[in-house]
Amino acid sequence: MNDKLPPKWAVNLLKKMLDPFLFNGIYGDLLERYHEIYQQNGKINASWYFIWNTLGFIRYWRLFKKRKLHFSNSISPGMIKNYLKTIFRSFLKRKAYVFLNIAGLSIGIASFILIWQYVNYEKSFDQFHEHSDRIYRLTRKDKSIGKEMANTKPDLLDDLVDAVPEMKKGTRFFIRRNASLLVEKDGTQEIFKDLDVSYADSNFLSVFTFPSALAFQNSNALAKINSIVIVESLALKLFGKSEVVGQRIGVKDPNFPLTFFNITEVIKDVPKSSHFRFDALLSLNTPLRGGQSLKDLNWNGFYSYMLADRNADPTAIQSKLDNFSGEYFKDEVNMGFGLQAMTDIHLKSDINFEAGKNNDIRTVNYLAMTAFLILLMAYFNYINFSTAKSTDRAKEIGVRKVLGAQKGELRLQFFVETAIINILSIVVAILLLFMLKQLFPSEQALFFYNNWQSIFSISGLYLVLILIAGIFLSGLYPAFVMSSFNPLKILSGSFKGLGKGIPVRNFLVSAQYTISIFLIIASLVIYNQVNYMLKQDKGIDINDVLIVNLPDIRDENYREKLGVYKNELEQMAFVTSISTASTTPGNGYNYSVQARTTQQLATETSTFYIDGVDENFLDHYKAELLSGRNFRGATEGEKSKVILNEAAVRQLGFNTNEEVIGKELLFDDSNFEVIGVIANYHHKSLKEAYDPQILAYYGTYVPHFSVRIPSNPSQQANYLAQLESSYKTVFGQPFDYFFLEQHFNTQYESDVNLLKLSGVFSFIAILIAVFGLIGMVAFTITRRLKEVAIRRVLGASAWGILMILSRKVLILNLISGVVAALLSITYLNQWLNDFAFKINLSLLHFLVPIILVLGITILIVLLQSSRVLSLSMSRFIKE
Amino acid sequence: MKGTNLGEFEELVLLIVAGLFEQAYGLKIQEEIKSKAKRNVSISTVHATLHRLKKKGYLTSEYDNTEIGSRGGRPRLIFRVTKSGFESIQAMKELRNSLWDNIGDIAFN
Repeated sequence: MNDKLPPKWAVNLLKKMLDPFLFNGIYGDLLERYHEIYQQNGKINASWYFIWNTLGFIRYWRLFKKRKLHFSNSISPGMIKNYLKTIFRSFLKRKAYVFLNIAGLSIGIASFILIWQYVNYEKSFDQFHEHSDRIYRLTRKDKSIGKEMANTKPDLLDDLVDAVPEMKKGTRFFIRRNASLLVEKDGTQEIFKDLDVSYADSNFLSVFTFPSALAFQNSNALAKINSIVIVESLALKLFGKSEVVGQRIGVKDPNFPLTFFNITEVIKDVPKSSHFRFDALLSLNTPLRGGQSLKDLNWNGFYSYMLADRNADPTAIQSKLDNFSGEYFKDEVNMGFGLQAMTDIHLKSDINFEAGKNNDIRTVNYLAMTAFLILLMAYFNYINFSTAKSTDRAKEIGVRKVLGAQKGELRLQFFVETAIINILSIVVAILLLFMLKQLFPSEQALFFYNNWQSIFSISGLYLVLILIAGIFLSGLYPAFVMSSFNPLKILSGSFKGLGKGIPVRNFLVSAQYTISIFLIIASLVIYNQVNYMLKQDKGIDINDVLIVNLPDIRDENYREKLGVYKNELEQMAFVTSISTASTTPGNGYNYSVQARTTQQLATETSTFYIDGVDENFLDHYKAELLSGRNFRGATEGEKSKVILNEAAVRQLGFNTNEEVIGKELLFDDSNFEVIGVIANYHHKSLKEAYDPQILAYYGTYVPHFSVRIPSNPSQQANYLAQLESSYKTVFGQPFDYFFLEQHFNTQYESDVNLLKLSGVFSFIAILIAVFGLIGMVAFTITRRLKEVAIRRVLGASAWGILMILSRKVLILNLISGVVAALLSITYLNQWLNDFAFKINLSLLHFLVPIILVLGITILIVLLQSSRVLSLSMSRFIKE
Repeated sequence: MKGTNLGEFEELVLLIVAGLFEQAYGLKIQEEIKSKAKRNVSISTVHATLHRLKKKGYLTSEYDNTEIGSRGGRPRLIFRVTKSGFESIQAMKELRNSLWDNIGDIAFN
């Protein structure tokens, strides 16, 4: 008869729908007719009949639905009390297990929250402005060399009014760093140094949102000349109070005469999440020494921002800018304008002459990914633990089931257990974070320079949702598995633990391995790249070079004092050489120009970067002169000579360095003769390719002294003391200096930070994986104790037993290693592509992490099993 | 008395169950409805109606213990009319009769 049965699925469907009492009768009826049709019309018709009529019962599913057997009421208060009691008893009974679980989960959650608020902070940059979504920054682009520059000439915005009607307002500012402010109090003058002072347009405060710290907002604060707006913290520092409108402040600046400004407004401090910073704003209309204002200088020193109309389309604005650029740049056909959404600047903009240090969106995304991976690992751990340990609970489950507990009730019980562990872990995680904050109270410490309030905002809601989702993720599977145990098997003693959960557990363990190995590979590559950038030969020697900043407060004898100090420096026996330049390596360039040779057409101009140097520059920094000659010092005509680097020579279209010697360059409305070519050196970080550089002779212009001292650490303090005492006697000001190499390396700050973070979080990932592994190995060993004991008694060596116990976990490890390596190759190649000078991925980058994790695994297996193997085996056989 | 009212189809099924006596199981009832009342109803509808009648207390059901090969060894679920079921169709019949008597012959002239 068996071959004449209707489709099995239909029978099962019927069985699912019907009360067991009714099923036999109804199924019998259907079968009877089925067989009739089978005899007369064949199998297909019979099957159709059966299926069609089975489906017919769906209409009545509510009528026929199974009656539930209710022996206990799952939501009675007594039962809930009982659940909680058993949960806490089982916690107490298995303290180590609960500890491992909470440790793993809380570390995972703490790391997640930490990274979460960091990522949120980074993504919140410039969002605090009321119109942040329609403020754009205008940039210059040189299409011939693919360079973009953040600053523009001051006349740009005036010209744009007609060209871009979408521009509602345009505002520009110019940042002056390390300015000194002078305040007169009770007849004495007090000087405050190292302040960032911006010259800003009168509509600056209406485009950007910097609220007043005072009761009444002065909307016209920057309109009048000689107006100054200061931030609240500066007001407190200068005057000890914030109501200081009407007071006078003198601005001292090395390049400008002392000018007095009237305070017209005090604003709240610039939020940390702003891509540009300032302590004070000066009216841009204020005339300079010659009567001209800064706006009249035709010079690329300004940041230009536009507030676009509501609903203005940035692509439409961009195309209008493209049309306008031809008219604006005239012969410089390669130049154009770029438009950056202000909120994108902090994470997505890395162009020349940025207003401050920006971050990299990919760093932030990498950390966000790490956060999720670590959290996932922590949950996987929990799932692994609780299903593996479920055999311990089997008796309880069996007894509960026999006494009439339904699956749903058991699920609820185990789910509540998970929720309790999760919530405890969240509490511990928050405590951990507070402890961490106590340990690193400094603003500079890795993560804590931002506001914790972000956790309580909208993003905090997401955080809570994620953690709740985590409870479900980690709770559902164990609850379903454990509630499905067969009580008969458990109570008769034939229950062998969880057979069907093993593939899932293997998958989870492999996933953890993969994540850990991936993170270690990434950290290793980041470490190598950062190290490479720090150690690579720069083409110049900046070790043991000291930059002595010159004082801001200058009197009429300043020129004279400069000569005296230089003379004293030269007299000091230990000073190897002295030089000066308009900027130092690691500080970007002085400015950029559009240049061409006199043989080239006007349309062939392209962007070059200018640095003003003296005749000692090449020897002092040990730059390599490839062709031609060095500057000869302050002799006649040297100011119209320039030295190029190789990149500049190539950009001008010359194939050999000799060809360019003697050619005339045209820029800044003047002719310059090329007298020499130097080898490319790393003026900026190794992220950047070599820029086309022009070294011009600035002669007597001295912005700083660059002093080379012997490489002798024991004498360094002595050298510094001599430099300082001489500086103090000559200038009567505090000594101000920095070591150039350290300064150069601050360019890698964000990379070093990434390295630290990825190192820390790889370590945490390994830690969580190790917790998981310890639990898993212990579980495997206890399950196979009898087997191990028998093998041991029959003469198996300890080594052999070890192999048997660790084989599976090692295979999983290797598979995960390969998967992690494959995943990381693409990811890391992408990351490395951002560096102009980079390391190549090698096999070692993948082998070392895999072997490391393998080693940790073996160690854990070894430790755990040696404990077992040292015990007397006969005990376990008897059991 | 809501819940004890008989629908038209329910009355038909109840009458057929009563008439089949000891032979009333799902498939048989369906066939009887087809041959006597010329109505094509699906087996699920028949069972649903039987189930409802049972809930109203007009029917009881019991498995007979003879195993029948053509039913794959499944027993038949035999339905019987209960006393209250019988009273219910009886009352229905009397109500109809008395109503018919009222009509007399005049109505059709």
